[in-house]
Amino acid sequence: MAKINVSLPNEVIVCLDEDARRHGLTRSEYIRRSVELYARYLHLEEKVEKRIQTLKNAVTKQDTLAERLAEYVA
Amino acid sequence: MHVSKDGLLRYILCENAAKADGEYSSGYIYLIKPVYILDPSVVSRWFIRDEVSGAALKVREDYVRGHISLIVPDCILFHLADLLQKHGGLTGMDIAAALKTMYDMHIIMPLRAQSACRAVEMAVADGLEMSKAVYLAEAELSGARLLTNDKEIASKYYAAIHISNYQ
Repeated sequence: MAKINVSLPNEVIVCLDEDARRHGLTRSEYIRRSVELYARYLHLEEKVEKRIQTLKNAVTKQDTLAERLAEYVA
Repeated sequence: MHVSKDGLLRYILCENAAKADGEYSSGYIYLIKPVYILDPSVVSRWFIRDEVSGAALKVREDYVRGHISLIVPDCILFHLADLLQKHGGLTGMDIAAALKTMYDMHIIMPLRAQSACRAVEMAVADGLEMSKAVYLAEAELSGARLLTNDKEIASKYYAAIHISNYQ
């Protein structure tokens, strides 16, 4: 496993260490899990954005087809 | 158009949990919002506008806003295509595009074997058309309500609600 240097504000380190101790995790393990979780969240958020756009496009397409059908009937 | 991002995020999380369970009609999605099954008499109104379209479009709007969940058995694609073709005014490409919008709305679910079997039972017992019974069976088995523009079905079956009564 590679080692990296990360700069964090002191108050964040205090909270992090406290929380890690409470959950029986080392500082490294706590940070690793946090990073993995955040990456997963960002991925999900991206998926949601795409899905919202697809949904909007579908509704717009339905309305376009409906307008064309209304013109056909008229 | 407003889309609730939080609502959709919650829905996807629950939907994924339900799918992981191998049962999309399991309790997960019911914890979040009401679930409705739609039949072609409602979905077709998204394309063919008439006096019923107002209520049908409200259902669509409520889904887009994340207020309700919708499930539509995949056999609707054939029924919807038939309706649009009979109506006239659309090319084959247009009808295909209309069907694709159904997938893009993420409401299409595969028809389950038990729903198909229940539909046959209902069709034989009550003299219903299979193409109507299948949506009713899906509603009955998933514990959701069927939204339909068929007055006879809406008045006869508890699982069905006439689209005009949708609020």
